[in-house]
Amino acid sequence: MGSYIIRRLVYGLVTLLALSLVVFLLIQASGGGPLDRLKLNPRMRGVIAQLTEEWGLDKPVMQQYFTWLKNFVTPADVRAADGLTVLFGKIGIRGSMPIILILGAGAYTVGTFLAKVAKPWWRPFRAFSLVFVWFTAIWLAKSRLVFSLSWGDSFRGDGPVWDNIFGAAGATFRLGLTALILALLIGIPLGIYQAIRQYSFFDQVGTTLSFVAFSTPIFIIAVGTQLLFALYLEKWTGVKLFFVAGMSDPSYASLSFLARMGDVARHLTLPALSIALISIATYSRFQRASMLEVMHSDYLRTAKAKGLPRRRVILKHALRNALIPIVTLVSLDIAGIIGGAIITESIFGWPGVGRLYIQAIDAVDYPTVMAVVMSIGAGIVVMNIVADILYGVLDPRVRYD
Amino acid sequence: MSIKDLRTYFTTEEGVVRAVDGVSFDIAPGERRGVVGESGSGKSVTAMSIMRLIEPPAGEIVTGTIEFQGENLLALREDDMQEIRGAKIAMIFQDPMTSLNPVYTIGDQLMETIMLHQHVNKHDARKIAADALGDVQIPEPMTVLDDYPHQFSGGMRQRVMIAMGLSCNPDLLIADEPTTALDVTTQAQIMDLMLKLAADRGTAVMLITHDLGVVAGFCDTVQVMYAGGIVESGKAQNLFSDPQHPYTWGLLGSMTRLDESHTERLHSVRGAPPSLINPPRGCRFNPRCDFAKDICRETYPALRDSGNDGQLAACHFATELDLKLLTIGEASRS
Amino acid sequence: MTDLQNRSGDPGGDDAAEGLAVEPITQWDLFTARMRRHRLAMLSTVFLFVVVFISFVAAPLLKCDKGATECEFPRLWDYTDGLRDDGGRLLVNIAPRGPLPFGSDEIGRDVLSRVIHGGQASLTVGLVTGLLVASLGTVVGALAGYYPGIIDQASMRFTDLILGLPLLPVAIVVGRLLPELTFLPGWMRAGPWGIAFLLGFLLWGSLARIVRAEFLSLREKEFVEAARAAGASDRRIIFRHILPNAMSPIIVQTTLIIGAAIIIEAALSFLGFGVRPPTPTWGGMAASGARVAARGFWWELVFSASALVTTVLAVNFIGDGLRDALDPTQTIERK
Repeated sequence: MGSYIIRRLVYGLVTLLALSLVVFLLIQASGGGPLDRLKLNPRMRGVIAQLTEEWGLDKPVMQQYFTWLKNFVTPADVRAADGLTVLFGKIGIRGSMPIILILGAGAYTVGTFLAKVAKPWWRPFRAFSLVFVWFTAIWLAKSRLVFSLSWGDSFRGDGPVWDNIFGAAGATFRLGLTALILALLIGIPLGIYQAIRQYSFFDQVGTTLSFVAFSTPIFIIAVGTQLLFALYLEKWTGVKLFFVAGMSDPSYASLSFLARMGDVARHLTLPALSIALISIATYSRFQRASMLEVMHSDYLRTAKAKGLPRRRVILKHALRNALIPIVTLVSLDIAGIIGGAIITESIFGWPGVGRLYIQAIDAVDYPTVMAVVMSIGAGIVVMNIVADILYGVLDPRVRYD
Repeated sequence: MSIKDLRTYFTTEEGVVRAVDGVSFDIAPGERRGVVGESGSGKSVTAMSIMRLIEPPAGEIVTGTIEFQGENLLALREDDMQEIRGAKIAMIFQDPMTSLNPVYTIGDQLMETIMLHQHVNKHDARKIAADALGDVQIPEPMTVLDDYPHQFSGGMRQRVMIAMGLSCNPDLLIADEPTTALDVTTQAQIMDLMLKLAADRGTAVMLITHDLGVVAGFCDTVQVMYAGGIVESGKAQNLFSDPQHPYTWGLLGSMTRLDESHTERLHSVRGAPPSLINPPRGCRFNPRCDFAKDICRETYPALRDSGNDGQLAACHFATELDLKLLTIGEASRS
Repeated sequence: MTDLQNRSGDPGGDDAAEGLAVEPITQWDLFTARMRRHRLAMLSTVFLFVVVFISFVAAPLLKCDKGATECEFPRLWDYTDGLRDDGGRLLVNIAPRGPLPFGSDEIGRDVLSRVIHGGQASLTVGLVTGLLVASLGTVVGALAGYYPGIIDQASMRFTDLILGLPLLPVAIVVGRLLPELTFLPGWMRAGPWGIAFLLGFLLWGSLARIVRAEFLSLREKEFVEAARAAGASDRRIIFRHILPNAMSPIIVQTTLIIGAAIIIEAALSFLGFGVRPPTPTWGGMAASGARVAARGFWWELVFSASALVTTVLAVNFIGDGLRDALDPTQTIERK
């Protein structure tokens, strides 16, 4: 299993390198000019020359690439300080990172208890590793560690790329994670219930709705919910329930805890739902199919023939087998959620990486563009590996690879 | 066990499939009864009906009684039936590769039944499970308990299934084509094992198969099923040497035999199995029968005693056809 | 057992001689029979034909002004007079009524004309991408599945690479830069063909994996061995023996990818990185429609979105129908 992970990491690295090269070359091939706008103005020639010099835009292409690459992976700043503010200081991130860390530690805990490893060293290993993982997670969450790579400065004059991205990352995490959790919590039970009540009215309606949701582009859903549930709702009923722009109220910091929660919810609901809807459709269809397959399986028949009560049969035997393929599905869906986030953030003005990306693309701000693409790519690689590990935990057939 | 007039129907798009249509037979304690027939003859459905594993709304046991240890199984509440399944009547299935849950250890699946029916704690259950594995001649049972099904071959998995079936000492074991998915050598081993275990414990066995050879080596009595009904039943040796029903005779004739002339063409029963939605009128075998007369197309023949130590055959001409004397060639000319 | 089953797959010699004749049923018959049962799929096929006809046959035949801002439809009434300004241009943001069934947009263009022409972009992308994905994916998958060892490994590594690319971010970058990539021919840089090729190169990975899996299992079947023993060349085996058996998942998956491609193209156009204005695209129209919708001008958004959703829905229903019809192992009967 360990060697498998190493292999996957290496492949992931190769993919990322290829990705960076392709995007870089494309930008260069387009005559990629952050300076294009300036070039239209003949009086800017001096500034153009200066910036060209400064940003190394006149060097040969491959040299530019390697310079970029070298900088990209070089740490610029590592210290323990009042880092939390600097690193995550921008809008509303503070809540997200610790949550992710705790979730990660929790997932690991669940995983270790689900896995059935029969080796004698397992129990002590599990105990120690759990202590270690939780300690690290809590320490990181509370730490004041500052760390950054020298990703350069944005061509739009927006400041260091690293800060921009990580400032925006928390917002995207918040949105994406909520969407994923919503999709899982709603989609999976829906699919299971559809399978148990196959061919019922509920099942047929659910299937049709899934098809429609699956066939609708996410920007339609986003715009639609925005119009229906916010603007028109307000127009018709005078109730301003959901917000459609931004992530939090300007007065956020001054609000009470309860009011803050309310504010978060009111801002988060519509965009998260928009992203989640398509995933809900996919997950429920998939779970339905998986559950049906399990329900007609031979081993379920064996379980019934042994005299096991129906509830135990479903909960113990059917469910675990039916849930296994979802792991693969989710790992494939991560890319979709990220894509959805890009579009949704633009529509809802959500200050996340997606919106940052669109702004950077427009201006061909290539340090930012490269950094975002690489971050997303790296995120996907990591998620896929995590999914593989999870799959191994759930399905013993895969473990002895 | 005494089954009377069992009828199990399935509702499909094309109509009602009468998979089991009026089946009655008995199984005595310790008896090893073979149930033989083509695919679609209703043998598996009969077994599933006994276990009450037929799922509504598609399938339904329409009528009949199954007397078992003083109770009618078809009238029991589901809870009570669950207590019987696995404990008093156990069933093992055809494909060992898919009959075990791949995500749980073998020990887990064995102990599950044991703890449920014998009300013992985990530790004792483990011991019982290991003993059961030993009985089916699996080496190193204690290690095997912690292994997963995919680590074993088909033969081994089927042994595990048998162990699971017998672990709570049932009075009746129903085996639905237990060796069909295995290679011939393993087949023989498994059948020998089952024979020994059943004989030792006095377990009655209902062996469902389409392989007459397997039946010959294992069963005391045999019943032949066709299109949802029993067409012949009796002691194994009698049936094989002196079949009374044309279908049985056809089946036996289609087997290759070492003592036959090998210049003859292999005979098969002509035609195809009938539709169970719209079965032929009268005797269901009549379209394919070499001896069919008008009465066969009109009236359904009930099982009648054809002498020979309780041998029953569902044919109007059961005692009149002296089937064992006719060779294939002669039959097609009569 | 149905009549169909009774008649097909039958034993042979004896029966023909005795008059229990059996009619042969071809794969095609079985396929069309099952396909016809799936009503939604049949409806969708009809619908799709209509859309294709409108976009590619009717649209060029209509007399429209440049940029398809207004087409001359055969009209029964005297139409847009009250809706024009002095310069002869249509007024902006007119709600749907008589001569303008879909209204006009914020620069005074007839939404109906634009919706009709907008289909060209989406459908071109769908079909071209589908063809590209089908070819690339099948070729790579077949090679990987048939030839073990280094060809398999290399192909699969390459496929994994493509699959590892984050789809939308890369598509956005390329879409944004497409008009300026001067090394590409002009017809690719403007218009839907470039996007189609882009998506074709990004989406073939999943199909390659599926084809490889099919080939891996089919390669071991006896009929391949038989063909080889009869002296068939590798190429012949691949094309004439294995490939026809692998068609079903290829077709189903390609259909799904076509639907996805149409959606991605629309998203790109929505963001402004796809087919550039003033060429009408459903995605672009949704974008401008969304901008004015807050003020109550709903028609541009609604009609372009409906066109998109119904087209993709039709494609997906067809895909579902195909999957049902082509899967010979389907045992769970519908009631």
